[in-house]
Amino acid sequence: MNLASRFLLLIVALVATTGLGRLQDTEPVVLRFKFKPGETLKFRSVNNETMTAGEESDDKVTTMTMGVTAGETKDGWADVSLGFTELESTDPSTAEVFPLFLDVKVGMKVDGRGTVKELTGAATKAESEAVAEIVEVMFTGVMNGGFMGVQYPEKGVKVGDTWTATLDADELMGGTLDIATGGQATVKGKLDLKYEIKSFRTSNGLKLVEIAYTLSGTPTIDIGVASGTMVLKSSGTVLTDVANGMLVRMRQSTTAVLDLGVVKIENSSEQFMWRI
Amino acid sequence: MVIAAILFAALPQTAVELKLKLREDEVVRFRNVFNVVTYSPDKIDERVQNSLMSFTFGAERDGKIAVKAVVEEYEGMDAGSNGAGPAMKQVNLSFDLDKKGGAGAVKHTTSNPALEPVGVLLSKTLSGMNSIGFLGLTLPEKSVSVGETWSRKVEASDFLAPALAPGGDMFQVDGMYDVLFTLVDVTNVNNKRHARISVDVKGKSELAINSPDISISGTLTVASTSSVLLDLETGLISSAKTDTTANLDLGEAEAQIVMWSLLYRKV
Repeated sequence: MNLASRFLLLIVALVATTGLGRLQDTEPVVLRFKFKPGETLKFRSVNNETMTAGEESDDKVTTMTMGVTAGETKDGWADVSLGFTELESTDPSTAEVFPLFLDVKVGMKVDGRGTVKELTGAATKAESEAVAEIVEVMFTGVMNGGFMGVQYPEKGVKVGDTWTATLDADELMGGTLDIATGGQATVKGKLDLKYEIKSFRTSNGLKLVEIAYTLSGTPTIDIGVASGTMVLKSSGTVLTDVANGMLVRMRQSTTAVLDLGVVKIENSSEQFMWRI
Repeated sequence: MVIAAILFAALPQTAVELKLKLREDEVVRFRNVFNVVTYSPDKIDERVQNSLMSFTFGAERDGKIAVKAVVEEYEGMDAGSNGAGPAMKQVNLSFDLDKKGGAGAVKHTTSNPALEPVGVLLSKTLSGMNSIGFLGLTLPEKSVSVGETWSRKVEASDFLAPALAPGGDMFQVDGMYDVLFTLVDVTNVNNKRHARISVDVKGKSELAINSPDISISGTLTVASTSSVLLDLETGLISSAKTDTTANLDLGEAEAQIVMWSLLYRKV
C-alpha cells in the first residue's frame, strides 16, 4: 500500500471544493495535436518488465525522463525532437549503456492526428552512433501506432465512440527483433488496435480526455534457427490534454508470449508515464 | 518430459525461510511511483508522486536493527506537493526493525525548527508504509512452502496514518483491516533466488471528517492486492506492484479511489 492512503486528503478536497467537473460531452470534440514552436514538454515513465524462459526470469525496472520539443509546422507537419534527460535501470547491464542514450536525439514530423513520418535518430558523439540506430528502430516501432502511441480519429468524438486501426506487425516490432537476432527476424501478420473514448473531464486545471485502447494479434516470427508465433495482448488507458492533444498520463499492461517450439519466452510489462 | 514434469510436481516442496539479512551500515534505496485517481459523481482528481527514499541499517541489538531513513527525492504531479522535496531531505527519520519486517514507531529529527511539521508528516507517512511490515511486508515466523499463507490484522488508523497526519484531529478512523500474505512461487529472477508473494488487504472502517468547513461521516471499504518480488538473499523487496480500490460512502456523497503503485529497489 505504501503511500496509498493519502487519498483521504483528496476526498476532503473533492467534497470541499466545487468547480471541477466533467466537460459537456454531448457535442463531438475534434482531438488534434497542436505543437507550440519552441515549447518543451517533459515526460517521465517507469516500466517494469519481466521476461520468463523456463525456470529463469529476468525482472527489471527502467525509469526514464524525456523532453519533447516542438519546432515549426509546415504543410500540417510539425518538426518534433525528442531526447532522454534521465535514465535509470535496476539491470546493471542496461544501466551501463544508458549514458550513450543521453547523447541521442530523435527527430520526426508529426501531423495533427498523430501520424509520424521521417523519424531519425542521431548522435553527437561517434561512440553513440550505434545506439542512435537502435533508438531510431525502437521509436519507429513505437510511433507506428501514432505519436507517443496515440493517433486521433478524423472526426470529432464523444464518450463511447470507438475507432480502429490495423498495424503491420513487422513495422511495429520487426526492427527491434532484427537487432536482437542480428538481422535474422522475419515478422508477418497484422495487429488490431482499438480505441474507445471513456470520458471527458477537467482535472488539475486541464481539460482531459480519457482513451482506453487494446492492441492484439498473433504474428508469425521466423528468426532463422526457429520459427513460431507471438501472442501479443496489450491494453491501457491514455489521458490527453484536449487543448493540445499531448499526453498527460498513460498506463498500459502488455504480455507477449513467443512460442518457437524449442523455447517459449513470456514477456510481461507494465508501464506508467506521466507529464512532469 | 511430461513424466519428468509429473514427478517434479509430486515431489514435496521445500519450505523456505523468509527473513531480513541486513548488513550493518548498508544503504538501500527504494523508489516509489504512485498514482491515485479519485472519482466522485461530478469530480475527478488525480495525483502522481515519485519519491526515492534511502534506508541505512545499523547494528543489531536485542534482535532489533536501528534504521535511519531520508527522503532523497520527491516530486508530485500536482502543484500542491511539487517543490516539497528539498524540505523533506532535511528531515532524518529513524525506527527499529526486526528480522520479520516488524517496524517500530518512526521518530524524526531536523535541524530546522520550521520543518517540524514536515517531520511529523514524514514520520507518520513512513509509519503507515510500515504498518503491515517494512515497506508493506511482514515475513512469516516459520518457514513456508509455495501456496502457504500467513496473516495479520492492522488498525485502520495505523494503515491510514499517512492520510491522517496532515489533518491533525480532523480525521477519525475506526476499524481493522485483514492482511493475507501468500507465498506464490520461488524462482530465479536476475540469477538470484526470489520469492513471489501476494499481499491482500481487505476491510471496512468507519470514517469521520470534522473540520470548520466539513462534518461528515461514513464508511470506507478498502481492497488491495500487491505482487511482491522478495530477494531471498537479503529478505528485501526487489519490486512490488500494488492495485487498490477504496470505496467511500458518505451517505449523500460517494467516491471511488483507484490507486496503483510500483515500489522497487534502486541498484
